[in-house]
This record gives sequence, structure tokens and C-alpha cells, in this order.
Amino acid sequence: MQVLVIVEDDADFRALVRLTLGVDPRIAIDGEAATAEEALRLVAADPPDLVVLDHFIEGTVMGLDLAPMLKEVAPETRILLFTTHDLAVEAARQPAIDRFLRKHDLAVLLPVVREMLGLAD
Amino acid sequence: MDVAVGANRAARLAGSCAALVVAVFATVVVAGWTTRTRGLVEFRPGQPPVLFTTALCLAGLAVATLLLLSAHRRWAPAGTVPAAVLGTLTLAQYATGADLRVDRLVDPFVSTGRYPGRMPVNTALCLVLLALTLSLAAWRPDRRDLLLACGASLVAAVALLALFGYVAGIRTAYAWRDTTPMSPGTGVALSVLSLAGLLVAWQDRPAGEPGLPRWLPVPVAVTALALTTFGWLALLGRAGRDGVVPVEAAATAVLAVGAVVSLLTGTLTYVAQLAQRRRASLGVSNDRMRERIELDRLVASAYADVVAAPDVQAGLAELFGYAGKVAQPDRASFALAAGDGLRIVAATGPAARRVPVGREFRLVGELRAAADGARPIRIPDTAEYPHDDPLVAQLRANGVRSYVGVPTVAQGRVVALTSFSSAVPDAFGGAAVDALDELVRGCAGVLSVLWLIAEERATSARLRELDAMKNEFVGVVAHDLRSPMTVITGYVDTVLNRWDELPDDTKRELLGTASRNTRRLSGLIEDVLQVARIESGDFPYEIRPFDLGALVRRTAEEMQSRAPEHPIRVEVDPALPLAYADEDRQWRVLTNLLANAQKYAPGPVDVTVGPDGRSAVVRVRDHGPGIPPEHRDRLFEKFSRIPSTVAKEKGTGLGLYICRSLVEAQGGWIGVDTEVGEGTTFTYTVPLAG
Repeated sequence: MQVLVIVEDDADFRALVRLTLGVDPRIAIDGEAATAEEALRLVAADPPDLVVLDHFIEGTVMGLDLAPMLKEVAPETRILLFTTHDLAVEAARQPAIDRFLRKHDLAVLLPVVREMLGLAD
Repeated sequence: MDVAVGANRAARLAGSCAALVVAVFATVVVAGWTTRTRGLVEFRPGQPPVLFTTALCLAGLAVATLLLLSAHRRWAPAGTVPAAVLGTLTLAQYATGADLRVDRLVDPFVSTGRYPGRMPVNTALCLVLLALTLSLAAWRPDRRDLLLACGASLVAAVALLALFGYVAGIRTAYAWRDTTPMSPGTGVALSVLSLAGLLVAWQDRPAGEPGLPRWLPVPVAVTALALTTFGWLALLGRAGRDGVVPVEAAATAVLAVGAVVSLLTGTLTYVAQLAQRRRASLGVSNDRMRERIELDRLVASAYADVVAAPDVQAGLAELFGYAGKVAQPDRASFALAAGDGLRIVAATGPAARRVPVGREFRLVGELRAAADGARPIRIPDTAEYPHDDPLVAQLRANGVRSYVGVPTVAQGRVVALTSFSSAVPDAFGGAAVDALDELVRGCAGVLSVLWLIAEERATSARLRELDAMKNEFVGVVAHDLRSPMTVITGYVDTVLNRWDELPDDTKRELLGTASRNTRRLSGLIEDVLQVARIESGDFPYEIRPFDLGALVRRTAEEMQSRAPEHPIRVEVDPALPLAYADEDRQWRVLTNLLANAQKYAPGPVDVTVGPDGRSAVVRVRDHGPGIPPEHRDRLFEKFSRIPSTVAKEKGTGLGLYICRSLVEAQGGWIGVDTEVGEGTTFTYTVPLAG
């Protein structure tokens, strides 16, 4: 069972991700966070297999800056930057980010997550 | 300069007195002829009398002289008419032997020789010469000194020759050929007039002419000629009973020797004059060259210092320091072109605080003409400026008496004006103005550049600030617009893609969420457009009297029906008069506040409306969690959002900003009262009618 944490401040979108990934019974969404503090708490307490991370979240720390902090407390956790804006370049520059996907490409969210988790299609 | 003016005045006075004396004398003689009084007519008993025609001419010439020395010089030739006419006619009579009837204007009861009543040749000649001289002097005042000197010296020579003849007993000296002899009286009168003329010529030299006057060779030559003639005649002795000398021999000898002598003396005098003038002008040009070099050095130093200045103010201060070395201004200012006029951008000096920095002004009239022609404007005394000029009036009001303005002209228009002023009148002489002109020419360009650099920096700093702010706004708006869009797209696509597998109520729920987000998006777009219109000024208000109480009740009902779990309790003071504002905009304000209350606070909302002086006060109170102090400062600014556990979705962050803009634009104010745990009260005012 692969455990996920979603870091996203839009409640409706959180629900949508849950709905999209919920199709695969091998994936369990264990926690949701809207701020960096919440995310760190969750991840530190129980490191998940993957974090779906938005960049523009509530609070002072944004997703790109949160990623290395998460990696510090959970080095094995993979991080997917999933955001509205095209931050591919910034994501590439941030070694803590393992993969970048635009929310626009919601349709491929599930395949990408499966790939990152090493799950077969 | 003063000495010359004084001397000129003395000379004019002397000349006028002489002319007056001659006029009186001539009038007396005329009276004598008309009343047949011998005593008045003969200057000395037994000597030839002063003739009637001569006296008339002398009177006319005396009047002409007086006019020439006064402000009415143009009328002087009128006085010379009798002398010119009678003199010329007499000479013609002598030359042709004809009788032109000018001799017997009165009965010549005193005999004068062969031609009774006829003017002597030498008198006629003198009178014609004087007439010519005075007329020409009136016509060409710039050559007055030269004309007077030449004419007067010739006349003086002839008159003095005659007098000498009377004294030495040489008839030829005063009676030329076999004609009427010149009367001693006439000789004296002519001498007085011509000597006065010489005196005026001597004092009347053009200003700035160094050394001896330019016309000096003529009187010198004439004097030499006359002296030679005197001498020759004296040497020849009193030959014969009537002192007649063999005319031909005498004439030839005199002319020959006299010509040589006078040429020599004339030339020597002229050469001496030239030499003196040369020396003087060399001296002057040496002085000028030294001054020039000093000034150039000064300008170069000034330039170096102004260029090194950090800004216009400092640069102008440097320039003022250098200006102080060539003049005594008590303030200086620098104005740059702004629109059709100029604006003062900097001022310096002890009296700088009296300069209206920032004031715009225009140059008009002759000041403008001078500036457009790149010439310095010089006002010796503002209190005595003859024309009505706004700039001069302004200067006067600021305590300026002397003023020098040096324009900087580029492409045919005035781009800058550097001004130096003083509270002392006539503080800047001609040399000072020229020096200031040079200084400014060197440095005004630098001052303009300093100003432009400062402006440029200020502009680009402002631009960067605006840019940053814009990016912020655009960034936030873009994100806020994209988020709901992404949600809508995601949900709708999910429903479409998984239509068959999803149960109906799930589909319904998902589409419901999508729908909610479209409303959210639409609300955000509305708010953003509102803000954009408010900011651009394209936001009209229709101010009219209306019933605020009724509006509040209506709005409360609407909002309550949308969210029945948030009842809205309204209390309107029955004594509330009509409000005077834009009803639609007021509706918007109230809706925003009520929507906020419903979103962020559970439970009921209380609205009260009542009059307070000239405004109505509306209070919207909720019983929610209150707003923490760290959010209170920025509450009414764009994109201030308070994180909330109660709110189902994020607000746009623009609602309160819009409220404040609307309330303030209609003449009210808005404020908030809130404590954590004790709810929030928004209070705003609406102007009342009447």
C-alpha cells in the first residue's frame, strides 16, 4: 500500500486529486495539508511514499521552498510538484523535486504517480 | 562718465550763453536800423556799422545755435535760412555785379562805402559757412563735433583776421578787395559764435574716444594758415594811407607759405593723434586680453566644479560661488523649460528662500525677445521697469531690484534660464553681465544634464515600483483565476471521462462543485474588473437622494434568502432622513459586508442604520471569531485574505478594498472594530441629503 500526502490549499482541488487517485486501490491518501507547517508535521510524523505538492499554498513558505525541508525530514519520500503555473524550470533547478506536472494535465496524474511509485499499469 | 556729462552740460551752457548774447546784440542792431539810431548801429563811432542784413542773419544764426544745443535740434536749420539766403545772394551780387535788391531792406542812413547797405564779402562768406555748419550739425548729430570744429575754426579765422586788421591797421584784413569792410561788431559777434562752437565741439566728443579729438587737424591747420596770414600782413607793414597791400603778391605768398605750413602742422597733429590713439587702444586691448584670460580661467574652474557636483542644487551652488567673483548677486536660480514656459527647479544663495522654487512662469515681451535671441536679460531696477511684465512684478514681490537672466537656447527655443538677482538696484554693470553670460554658457548645459539624470533616476525607480506592484497584482490575479478554472476543468473532465463508472449522486456532487467554482470564478472576475475600473477612474457615480433604510432592508432580505442559516437582523432608525449617494454602489458595499459576515462568521448578523449629524451610520456586526490584530492593518487593501477555518472557500481578497473605494468616493468613511473571539463590526457612513 502506497501512502500519499496531498499538500494543496484549495479544498475542491484536494477533493479532485483524491477522487482521481482513489481509482487505484493500491494508493491510499493518508493526509492533507494546506500549509507548509501542516505538511511538515504530517510528513515528519509518518513519512509517506509520495507527496503531491502545490507551489502556491497558504502561509509564508511556498511549495518549491518546502520541498527540500520535506526531504530533510523524509529522505525516501518522492515529491511531485503539481501546480497551475508552468514551473518546470524552477522544478528542474530544485533537486528535492523529483517530478513536475501541471494541473492542466490532470488526465495523466494517475499514470505519473503510478510510475513514480513503481506501480505497474 | 559723469565728468564728461557735466562738461558737456557746461559746454552747452557756454554755447547757449554766447548765442544768446549774439542774439541780443543782433536784435539791438536791428532796432537801431529801424529806429534810425546811429549809436546802436555803429559798434564804435567812425567804424563801419553792423549792417541790417548782417544783424538779421546773426540773429537767425544765434537762434539756430540755441536750437542746436537744445532738444529741438531739428528746427535749427530754420534759423540759418536768413544767413544762407542773404549771404549767398550777396556773394552772387559781388560775383556777377548784378543788383538783387537785398541791400536795401532798410534805408542805409549810415554809409558803408561803395555798395551802401551791402554785406561785406568776408561777412557773407562767414555767414554762409556758419549757416552750412549749423544745418549740417543739426542734420548729422553724430558728426556734430567735427562739423562744428571745421566750420567754426574757418569762421573764427576770418573774423579774427578782420579784428586783427582793425587793431593793426591793415585794411586788407577786414575789407577784402574793394568791398564793404566787415564791421568790428560783426567780427566780434562772429568770433564769439564760432569760438563757442569750437568749445562745444571740444566737449562734445563721442564717448570712449581716447586722447585728442579727431577733428583737431582742421582748426590747427586753419590757425596756422591764419597766423601765417597775420604774420605776413604784419611784416608787410602798414603800407600806405589806407593800408592796402599789393593784393596779388600778398595773396600768392600767403597762400603758398600758408598752405605748406598748415599742411605740415595738420599732418603732424594728425600723426600725433593716431599715435596716441594707437597707444591707448593697445593699452585697452592689453587690458581686455588680460580680463579675457582671467574670465576664461574662471569659466574653466567653474565648469570643472559644476561637472563634479552630485545634483542640480549643488551644481548651482558652485556656479553661484563663481558668480560671486564677477558680481554681487544675493541669490541665483535655475529654471528649465516646462510646457510653454519655464519652471524654477533650484535656487541658492543667501536670499534663496525668497525664490519660489517649483513655480512656473513665462517670458513675454522684450524679455522674451532677448531670451529667444540668446542674449542676457538685464533689468537694472525692477522698480523702474517701464512695461507691465508679470515676471518683473513677481521679482519685485520677492524683493529683487537688480536682475540678470542668462538664457540657454537650443533648437531655437529657450530650454533653460539661469538667473542672478540682488535686492540692491543697479548691482550688475555691463562687464558683470558679460562675465555672468560667459559663466552660464559654460555651465548651464551641465546643470540641465544633472537635472535630467535625477529625473531619470526618479522615473525609473517609480517605474520599477509600479512594475513590481503590477506583477504582484497580475500574479495574484492570474493565480486566483487559474485555480477555479483548473478545478472546473478537472471536475467536468472527470465527469465526462468517467461518466459510465461514476454513480449519479457522485456525478451530481462533482458537477455541483464545478458549478460552485464557476460562481467563484465569476465573482472574482467581477471584483477584478471593478477594481480595474475604480483604479482607472472609469467608475461613474450617480448621486441622488434615496431611502437608505429601505435599501438595507431589501438587501438583508436578499442575502438572507441565499444563506438562510445566517439570519440578518435589521434595525433602522425611523428618524433617518434620505441619504444622498449612489444607491447601486451602496447596495454593493452592503452586499460585500453581509457576504463576508455570512462567509466568515456563523450565526446571525446585526445591521443598524441611524443618523449622526450630516451622515447616516451603518453598522454590520457579526458574532464570528473576530480578526486577529496582525491582519487588521491591511484589511482594506487589495488581496488581504484572512485564513479562516469557517469559510468554505477563499475570498477574492478584493471585497473590502472595493468597499472602501466605494464608501470614500461617495463622501463617507469605513472602519472596523474587532476582537478575537468577540466578533467583528464594520462601520461606515453615507452622506445625508439636505
